[in-house]
Amino acid sequence: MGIETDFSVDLDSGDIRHVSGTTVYNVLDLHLYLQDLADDATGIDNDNPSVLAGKRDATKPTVLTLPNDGPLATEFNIDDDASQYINFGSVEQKGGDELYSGFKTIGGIVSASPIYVVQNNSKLSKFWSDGHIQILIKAKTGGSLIDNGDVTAYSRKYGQTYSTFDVNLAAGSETAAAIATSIDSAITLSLAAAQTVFGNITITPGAVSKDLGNGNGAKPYKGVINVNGEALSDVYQALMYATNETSTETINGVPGWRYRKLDAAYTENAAYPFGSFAGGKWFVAQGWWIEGYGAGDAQAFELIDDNGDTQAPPVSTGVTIGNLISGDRVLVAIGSGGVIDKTQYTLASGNDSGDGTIVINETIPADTPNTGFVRIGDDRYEYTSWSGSTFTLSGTLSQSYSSGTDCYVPLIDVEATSSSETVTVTYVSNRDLVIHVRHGSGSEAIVPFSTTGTMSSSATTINTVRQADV
Amino acid sequence: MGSVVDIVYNSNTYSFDFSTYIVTVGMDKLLVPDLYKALRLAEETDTGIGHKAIAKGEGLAVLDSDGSDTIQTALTVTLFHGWLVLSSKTSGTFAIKNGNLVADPPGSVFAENSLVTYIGFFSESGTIARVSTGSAVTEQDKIDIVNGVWGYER
Repeated sequence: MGIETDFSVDLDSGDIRHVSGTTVYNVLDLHLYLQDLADDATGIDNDNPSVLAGKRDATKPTVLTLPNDGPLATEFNIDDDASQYINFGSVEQKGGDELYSGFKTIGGIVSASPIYVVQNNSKLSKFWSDGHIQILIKAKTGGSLIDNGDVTAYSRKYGQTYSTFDVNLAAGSETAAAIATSIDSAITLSLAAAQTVFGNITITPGAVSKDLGNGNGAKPYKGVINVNGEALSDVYQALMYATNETSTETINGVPGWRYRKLDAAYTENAAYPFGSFAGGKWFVAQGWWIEGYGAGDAQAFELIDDNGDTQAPPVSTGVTIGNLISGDRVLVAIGSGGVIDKTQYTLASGNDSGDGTIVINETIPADTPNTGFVRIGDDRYEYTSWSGSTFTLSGTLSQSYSSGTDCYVPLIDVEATSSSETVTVTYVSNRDLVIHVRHGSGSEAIVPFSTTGTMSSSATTINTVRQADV
Repeated sequence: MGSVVDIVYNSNTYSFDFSTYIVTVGMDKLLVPDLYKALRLAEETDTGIGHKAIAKGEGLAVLDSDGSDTIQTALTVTLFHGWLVLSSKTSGTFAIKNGNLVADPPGSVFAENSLVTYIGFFSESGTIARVSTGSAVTEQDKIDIVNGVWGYER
């Protein structure tokens, strides 16, 4: 058994064909076999069947030409079937019009990770086993490169991380594609269950402008995934299902098995086409906006907008002042060392008597209560909303204010109506607080309670110390 | 709106200016307990809540042994942050009664009004003769009571 048994060579027609066996021979083996035939008594009067580029070197891929320009113009050639049993080099034939180029995968993979090759947007029919491959791929035919010689190696087995690598085979010889896979511990659903989840979500490619409410304003995205209440951990798995090798789903007009990214300009996440899932959080691939998730998932994702900027959902925080009684006067403001920062902002020009807004020179931070009071010195104005640098008042300014006048916005500025008062805001950064609680009359009068605290990324509670007044 | 808060207590008006930290009163005799009640009310107004506390009050310790609470040490009101009392009277005398009024840090408690003579009276509760008969009162208590009563005249 050997190459002479597995291959037939017709020295008159030039056809080199695989006829038996499963052994794969390297290109140098083929050359040696052809040259051995050529020097036989029956072959010595035929054209030379193969020409080697450079010296024989078993350690390097062999570049072999099957000529058609001999005295007899014999067109030596292999066919697609024969090419499946040859590797480690390239075979050029038909006067350079046809090229079988060497291709292999390398890298750390889960044992027997399946690999498929896409050429000109189609999967090549597999003639290889799972695990790393070393094959010949027809890169040129009829004098033209197939898709410019480009091919892409994929390994996308549901349950494992995915891998993708682009190569160009135009130069012949052998080209390597780096493939890496590992077990994806975030995959817990069966393929069928993930498919069911995928059926419940809606993917809508197309440019949108969305505001995550994290203080960064509206940002551009290139598509929307409405998860329709599905858990984001399950949606992640559903999208891995949709992009696995056997997927029949279509995403943004592309078969799922070769979907790679939403926009050609984006950086691909080859291991996770829709982003990774780790630590209970889905790091969504660039350009996708997600919606329709439950409250429990409000913090369980992170986006990358079309500009490439990471957009994390807002973190809710807040302050609760406890141990109150109805009628307590409560004020919680940003400050340090027990002193309220009354210079938090400065007024812009044009804040005039009768105006229904207060405009400041700064951008109002995201951790400003949705409603509350703006204090300009000892003047106190209720606002019902804010945006940008403008507070919209429930009333109007009672006087005109000079540009640059200091003002501030307490987090809580109320008379208590129950045993606690709470404000919930979007976390921006840790804020040092000054807290005043007073109740100056009646049998419930207390010594003024003043303390300090910090509002961090998690809500804080401060209980009033009620010391009876003299 | 503004920095001035008028508090009416026991038919008297106390005008707290949170921009100058001066409380203006118009009566002839300022009762320290009433001032204390008024300033507590001022502190809890929309304006006052944005400022530090005006004062603290101490005293009113029960001295009699029968628990009737009829004999107490005087109320000492300590004004913070430079708060001053200004009499709006344009002539005559202005008296502080029924307690002690001091400043922290130590200093004057009166804003300048050259038209008025300020007089401090001993606290009624602290000067009652019955103090000497209280079985629970030590000799040192008696000294402290007397020394603790504020007196000021100009």
